[in-house]
Amino acid sequence: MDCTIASASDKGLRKEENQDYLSYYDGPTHKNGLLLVLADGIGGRSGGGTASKIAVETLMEYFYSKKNINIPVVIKKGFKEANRVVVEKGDQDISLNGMGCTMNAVVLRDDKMYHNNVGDSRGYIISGDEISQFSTDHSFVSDLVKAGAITEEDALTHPERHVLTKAIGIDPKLPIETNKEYLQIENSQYILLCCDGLYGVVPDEEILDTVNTLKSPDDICKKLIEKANENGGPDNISLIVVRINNIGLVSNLKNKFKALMR
Amino acid sequence: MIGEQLGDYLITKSLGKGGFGSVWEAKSETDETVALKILNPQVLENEKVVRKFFHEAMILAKLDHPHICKLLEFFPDGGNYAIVMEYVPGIELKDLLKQKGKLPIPQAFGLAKQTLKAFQYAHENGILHRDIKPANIMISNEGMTKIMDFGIAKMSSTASHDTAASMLSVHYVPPERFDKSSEIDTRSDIYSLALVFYEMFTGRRPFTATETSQIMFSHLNEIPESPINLAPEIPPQISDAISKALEKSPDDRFNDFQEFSDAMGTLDDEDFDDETCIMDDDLTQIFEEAKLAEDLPETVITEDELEEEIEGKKKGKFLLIASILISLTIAGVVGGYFTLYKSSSGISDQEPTTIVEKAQTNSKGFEDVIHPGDGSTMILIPASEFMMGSEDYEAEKPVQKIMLSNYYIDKYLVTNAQFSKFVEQTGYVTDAEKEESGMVRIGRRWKKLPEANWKTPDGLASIDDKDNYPVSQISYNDALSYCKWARKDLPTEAQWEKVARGPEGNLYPWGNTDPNETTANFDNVIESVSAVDSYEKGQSFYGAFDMAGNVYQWCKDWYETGERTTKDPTGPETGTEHVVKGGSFSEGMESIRSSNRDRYEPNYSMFIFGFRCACEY
Repeated sequence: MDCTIASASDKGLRKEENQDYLSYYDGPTHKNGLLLVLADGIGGRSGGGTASKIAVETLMEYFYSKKNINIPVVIKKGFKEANRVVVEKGDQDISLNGMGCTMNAVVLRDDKMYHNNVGDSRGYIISGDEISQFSTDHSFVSDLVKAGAITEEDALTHPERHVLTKAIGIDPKLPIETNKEYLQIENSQYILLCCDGLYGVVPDEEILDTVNTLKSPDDICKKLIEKANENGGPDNISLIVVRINNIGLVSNLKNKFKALMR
Repeated sequence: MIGEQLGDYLITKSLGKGGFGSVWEAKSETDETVALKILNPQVLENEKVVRKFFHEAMILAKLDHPHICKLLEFFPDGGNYAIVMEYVPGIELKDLLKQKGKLPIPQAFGLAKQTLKAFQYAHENGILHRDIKPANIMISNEGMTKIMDFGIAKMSSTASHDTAASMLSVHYVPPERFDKSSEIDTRSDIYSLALVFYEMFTGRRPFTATETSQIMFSHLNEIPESPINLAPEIPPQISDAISKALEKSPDDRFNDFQEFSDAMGTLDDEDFDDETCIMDDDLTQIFEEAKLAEDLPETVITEDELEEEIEGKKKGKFLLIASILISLTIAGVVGGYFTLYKSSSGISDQEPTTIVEKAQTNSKGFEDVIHPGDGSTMILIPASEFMMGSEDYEAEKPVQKIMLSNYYIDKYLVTNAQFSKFVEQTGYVTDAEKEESGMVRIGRRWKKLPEANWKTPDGLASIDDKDNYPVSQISYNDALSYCKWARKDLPTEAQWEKVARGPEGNLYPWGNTDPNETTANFDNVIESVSAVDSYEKGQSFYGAFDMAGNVYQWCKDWYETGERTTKDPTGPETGTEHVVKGGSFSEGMESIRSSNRDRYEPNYSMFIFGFRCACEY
């Protein structure tokens, strides 16, 4: 599979430090696939930044330490391990006590994309004129919307819109589901991982428009950071953009065949 | 943290971690033991909130009630804030409920009355709790309730931007908290406390959803079942009072805790005095058992996973036993605790239990768990549709899409070792032993041999050194008796067939390719039974072994042909023969197809008949 990846992270205009952290595999093709991870630290003190860095690095290390893997299971276990390490560090040091972060991970292998997340950082897939979120928001307001207590519109301005129901590093027994679902990826699609500093500030349509206008992942990253800051930059802004250039001849034929069969 | 000094306190031990911070046991300068709660930094980000809480803490510190955990001090230390509280040795109601399910009525009533008094007192002093849940109700070693964490939830409820990971337990939250239809007031606390009572008296929560949003929906829209319908022994006035306190609209609930308490009435029990003492021998024992379970070594089963499983499901006395046995099995310590398992030393007629623990993800990506009854590995089969039946034979028609709810099934066939243990503990005599003969095949002919029973299934070779082989020469009656002893059940035919075929309705457990000597023990290739874990390549979609070949397996259903019920079919009400599935080591490839079925009378025992168990989710 051939893809182009770019990422960017900015502290925004209102925060004193950047507590987001992101990373992706950047070596020769690996049997386990290509892992991309993004995390958004929690809280205003140094703990948040530490938590997101530890969590992302732990997951990366865990994922590539395993062989012949069942991807969804290893992602889940990697999340558990990241949680364990962050909780442990938080317990050891009183200044880091209670630190936490969101975490969003995607693995691309052949023509498939696997994903999992904790918290409200999001993953989107952009295909032509369509943008759709594939991650699940673990937030109080998203549950309220699902329960029918408030509307999606209410959620945007709800006073508790930043309250998460799940986060890495807070609960040693954090439940994490194995997400066995994968998405079939196709040439020319874009995958976007980002924190609420972007999607909460730049509307989805504007993100879509930026991707389709600029096309280069690097340019898209820069532009979206700019737009978030133009809209006030209330929070740290981080994103990873992947463009699928070529999923490979065999995979491509397989997908076309499947499409014909539908 | 341990060994660190915070203010005047030396931290000595971790007591736990929650949404608002971590809790530690600590010693004061005068050597008094206290509980010290250190608030998470993100809780403290909003200084206004902290100031507000500080003000409330002053009031809290003045509260003096035997059933309220006393707040001793609230102080900043560097960048942290610490709340110093009275240390109460005992057990959280949450843990007690987790282990015991419902409590005996006099004890539940006693605990309820104490908490009602405490809340009435706090509310008269202008304090709302806002986060009433079993985890915030401590029961001291003397059987006194102590309400903890008054007012702390306020910090979260006014949380501002960036505050994260609220550990709000939505199970006990009133509807008005979600849709803001009215302000949070005393009646909100009444609703939460009624949910705690509901659980104490019935052993379960009224809303059984597991997704947070579904639980919220239930609080907002679903009318809870009356407690008395779940536990008919509850006095009607208690059931009615709980139901009233759970009304959706605060206006329809009690106005204060005194009203709630009055409506609960009194208990006509001469041994019981709700004013002073709720402890009696029974309850002391409950606490002792519960604390014993608390002290067991850490296992791979997390409390959280346990809680996930318990949510909304049946909880019974068995839970304590289950957690103890599993802990011990995993820790490798067994002796000494089986006395607690005395109720299962005979074949009980109790309902099969639910499994309460999760363990490992198996090689097929499904959850393997250890069943406490017989220590077997069971696979959680998630609810889904699957294709049942085939067009190949009349008896297998029609092909139908069948929906099954979640359930567990044994990963392996029941072994000689497991069956021996059952016989040892119960003195059970199998049908073949009673009849003093069992069916065996000699060459191409079937014959009843007097020596054939489960200990010598073919009438010749004994099962010595074959611990890990499937028990055989077993009738339906024998199989079911084992299941009851282990608090399990036989799988229905649909449950069995789904495990064998997977959701797509494969021909064989491993897929649609023909069997061979690496996938199944069939066609007399080895001419005898094989160890239950021999055919790894023959595992089914869900990771079950021996779903084709080795020995036939009894199913729960009476045999009949034709259309089945499309959801969780259990076969006809009555019949003369029960279904067997899976073929055996002596059958050819047609017979080990997963849709193949045969049938025999309940007392019919044959040397190629064995079984595996299922268990409700």
